[in-house]
Parts: sequence; C-alpha cells; structure tokens
Amino acid sequence: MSLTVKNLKRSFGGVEAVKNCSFKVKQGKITALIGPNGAGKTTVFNIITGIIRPDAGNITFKGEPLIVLQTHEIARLSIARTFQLLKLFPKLTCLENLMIAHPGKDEKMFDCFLKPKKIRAEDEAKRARALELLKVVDLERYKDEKAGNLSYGQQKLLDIARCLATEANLLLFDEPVAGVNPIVRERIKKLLKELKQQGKTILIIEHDMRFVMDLCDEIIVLDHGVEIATGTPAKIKKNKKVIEAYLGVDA
Amino acid sequence: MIETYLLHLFIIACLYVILTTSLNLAIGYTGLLNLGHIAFYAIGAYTSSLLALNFGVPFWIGALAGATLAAIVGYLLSYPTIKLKGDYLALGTLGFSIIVESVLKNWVSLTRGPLGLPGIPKPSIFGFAIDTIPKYALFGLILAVLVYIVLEIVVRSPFGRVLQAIRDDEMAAKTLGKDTFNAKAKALALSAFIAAIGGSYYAHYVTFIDPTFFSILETILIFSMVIVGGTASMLGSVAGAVLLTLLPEPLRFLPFPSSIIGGMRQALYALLLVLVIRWRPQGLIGENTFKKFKNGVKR
Ligand SMILES: Nc1ncnc2c1ncn2[C@@H]1O[C@H](COP(=O)(O)OP(=O)(O)OP(=O)(O)O)[C@@H](O)[C@H]1O
Ligand SMILES: [Mg+2]
Repeated sequence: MSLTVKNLKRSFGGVEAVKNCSFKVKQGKITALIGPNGAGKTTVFNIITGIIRPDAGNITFKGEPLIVLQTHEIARLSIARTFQLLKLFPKLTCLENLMIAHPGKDEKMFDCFLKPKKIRAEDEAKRARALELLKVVDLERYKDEKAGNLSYGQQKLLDIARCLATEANLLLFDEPVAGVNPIVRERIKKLLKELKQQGKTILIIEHDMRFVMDLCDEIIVLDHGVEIATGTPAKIKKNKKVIEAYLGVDA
Repeated sequence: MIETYLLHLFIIACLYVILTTSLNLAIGYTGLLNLGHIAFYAIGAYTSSLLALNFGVPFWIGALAGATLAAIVGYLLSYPTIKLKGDYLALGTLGFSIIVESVLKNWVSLTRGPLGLPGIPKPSIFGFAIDTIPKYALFGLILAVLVYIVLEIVVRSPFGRVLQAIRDDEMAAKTLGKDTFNAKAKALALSAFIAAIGGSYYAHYVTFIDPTFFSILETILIFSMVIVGGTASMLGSVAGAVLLTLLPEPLRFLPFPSSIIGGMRQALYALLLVLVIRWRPQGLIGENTFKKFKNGVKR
C-alpha cells in the first residue's frame, strides 16, 4: 500500500469539507478520486501535501506519517502534485519552471561561488531533462517563453510536465484534463499510462468519466467529504450510491 | 573644484548602486516587500565607525563586523516577519527600521544620539590609505562592481531561481520541496550584509554620521530607485541609482534656500515615481511587476 488516508476531518467555518474520510491508494496503480463539486477532493489533496492541516485523522505514505510534516518535507518524500487552479511560476520561462522541479540537491546560496563547475554541470543535466519533458508535452518551441504567457491548455500541460520533472513516485493530478482539447487529452492519457509502466503511483481527481473509466485501475468516490465507494471502474459504474450521488443513470 | 564635485556625485552614486541592487534582491527577486533596508545600512555605518573611533579597528575588519552583524539581524528578523505576507511584511520591516533609528537617537552613551559621530577615520586597506576623493571614487567603483557581480551571479544561480519561484508562487515552490522559509531568510541576510557594507563605505567617506541619515526618507529614496530602475533587474537598479542621484542635482544651482530645495528634491522623486508607475511600470530596465495586478486573470 502506498498511501493510506484514515478518518480524515477538516472543516472551514461551518462547512465540513472532509468528514471521516478513509481510503487507500495502491502502489504502482492509477487511482481516481471522483465526486460532485465541493465533495472535498481538492481539500484531500491539500491535506496530503501539507498545505492544509486536518482537524483530525492520519495519513501515511509508505508507512511514514505525513501530517506532522511541512509541505516541502512531504515533497521530499517523493510526492508531487498539480493544481486545479494553476500554480506555475509565471515570470520564469517554461524551461526554468521544469528545471526548478528537478529533485537535485537543495539549492545553496554560495554553491555558485564555492563549486561553480559542479553547479554548472548539474544545471546542464537539469536543462537536458527539462527539454526532454517539454518535448513530451509538445511545448519545446516555448522553452524560453515566460510561463505566464502560455494559453490555459498549454499551462495545464506545463504543470503536468513540472510534476513529472520532480521524478516523484507518487503523483497527484487535480483535474489534469479539465478544459483541455480532445487531442491533448489523449496525449495526457497516454502519458499517464506510460508513467504507470515506469512504476509510478498515480492519484487523479477528474470529472471526465470516459477518461477516468478508461484509464484507472481503481476508483474512490467521495461525496460530502466521505468515501462512499471504492472499486474497479466496472463495479463503480453499477454502484447504486454512486449513481445517485454523482454519475446519474445514463453513465 | 568641479572635478571634486563630480567625483563626489560618483561616490554617492556608487553608494546607491550598492544599496539599490541589494534591496532589489529582496524586493524584485524574492518578493519580500522590505521597507527596513536602511536599518541594515545604519547598522553597518555605526558598527564600523564605533569600532574605528573607540578601538582603532581597521576599516575592513569594522566593515565586515558590521556586515556580519547586519546579516545576523536580517536572518533573525526573518523569523517574526517572513511568515507575514505582503503588506504585513512591509509594516514589520518598516517598524524595525524605526526602532533602529530610535535606538541610534536614544542610546546616547553608545551613539552620542543626535550629536552624531564626528571624526570617523578615512579607511586604510592593507596599508593603502584611501584618503583623497579620487581614491575614494575608485574604491567605490570597485565595491559597486564587486557587489553587482556577486548579486548577478547569485540571482542567476539555482538558488536565485528558487528565490524567483518563491516570488511567483511560494506555495508551489514548497510543493516542489523547496524550504522557502530558509531561502527567504538567507536572501534577506545577504541583502542586509551588502547594505551594511554600503553603510561603512559611506560613513568613512563623510567622516560624520548622525541618526537623521537613516530616516524613512532614505528608505523611500532607495525604494524609488528600485522601482524606477525596474524590479528583478540588477542593471535596472544601477540605472535607477545613478539616475536618481544625478536628477535632482541641477536644483542645487537654483536661487532658493536649501530648505526649499530639499522639499523640491522629494517632490521630484515622487513625480518620477508616479510617471514611471503610470507609463513604464516595468521600470527603465526590468520585468513588469505591476502587470500581475492589472490583468488579475493570470495567476
Ligand atoms: N481554503 C478554504 N477555505 C474555505 N473553504 C474551503 C477551502 N477549501 C475548500 N473549501 C470548501 O470545502 C468544500 C470542498 O471543496 P473542495 O475544493 O475540496 O471540493 P472539490 O471536491 O475539489 O470540488 P470541485 O470538483 O468543484 O473541484 C467546498 O465547500 C469549499 O468551499
Ligand atoms: Mg477541486
């Protein structure tokens, strides 16, 4: 088991965004987290990555408890994510956005004076890797363009590429194909399958059911902050509670 | 005579290049709205002056001591203030600079308060006395170029990239495993270190300092230099520093008493600031800081 979420609770004022939510994400699989708007999916991501503190509950990643850690410490355990509302570095170039995600050594202030050769070599490696990833998402042409100047869809792709550039083992995608055209959507689907082949563990939030059913090994359904069903796509499609809460009859 | 005047202007321009580039590291590159820069400058000026006057400590040791003290203070200051965002950080650092100024005014037994410190010796570095104006101008040039090169290397390094990422989106930087708190504290410490060097450089040039040198007006001036030159551009800071040093000089030759000219100088800075923000928000050289606010769509 890769990620275990247990009895998670978090409310905002009167809104109980997450209440007593528990689920597990299997190593090396693609798992989807679905549910109606406001079900608490993004909040769960925010708690996993330490951006929001839970009121109660536990999260472990490969046996290690996460909720006592700070965001950057959690990231260093090899967990990366994308954001539903994009959070790129708009004034850095596309290339720099990816280079900074590279899990190199912690960037020290005086390293550029003390060991300039090593820094330059490391940076070259980061640049090469970043260029490869830009090719994968077909943004190579924009490598020296500021990220803030890209279109929404392109920014979405860059965000995904940045997530990959971290080389993390657990990848969390928050609605990776929302607002993305069908061709790019297929490309992302293929990319995620390849990542699975490489042994990555993937958790995606997504409202596009065709995309989810096609891609995922397992689906977790959240409604009003609680997990109401877990299972294979085939099982979830037939689940009464899920149909009522989210899918509707004709899904 | 005229050469002395021009060299004096050059020496002052070098001082402001040092102060402005180091402030830009905090404001333009790291996104820390630091309004306390002048306090670090004051710490540098007073530390090396007091060490020289009371213990005859050589200039370069005094300057390094002042700079180290400023860096430590900057680092410590980051603890209570860096968790603050935007406006609150600005208020916190501004408060800090007011505290430093009032310490200088009121700790009379150490600083002689408003009377100031006269007779600060001219520097002598490894037996080479920097005792004439041309020598001081050369010294200033060397210092300013050195500071410029160091800062330019830092902001282009991987560490500098992390600072810029923090400025753009701190939360995203954290989710990529960056210890943003630590990076901001270090950036503030380096910025303070360099400002303090500027303070020593200036104090040993004018040979007399008092607390009025380190007032809020000075903060506004170097802040304007950063904005006019362009944030997140070291070259822009050099341009801003030189321009705002030279621009009010012609006022000197107008037939008004100096009290009026002082006011006109402030008005001129304010006017220039308004013009730049209105028509060239990215500054003379630099990235467009205000764009983000204009079309608030892009996040
Ligand atoms: N930082 C916050 N402050 C206040 N309320 C919040 C915050 N984050 C989330 N909420 C509230 O928590 C609830 C769950 O929000 P969340 O973003 O987790 O939903 P979601 O399942 O991701 O929805 P969607 O599919 O629309 O993205 C919502 O009612 C939302 O308003
Ligand atoms: Mg969401």
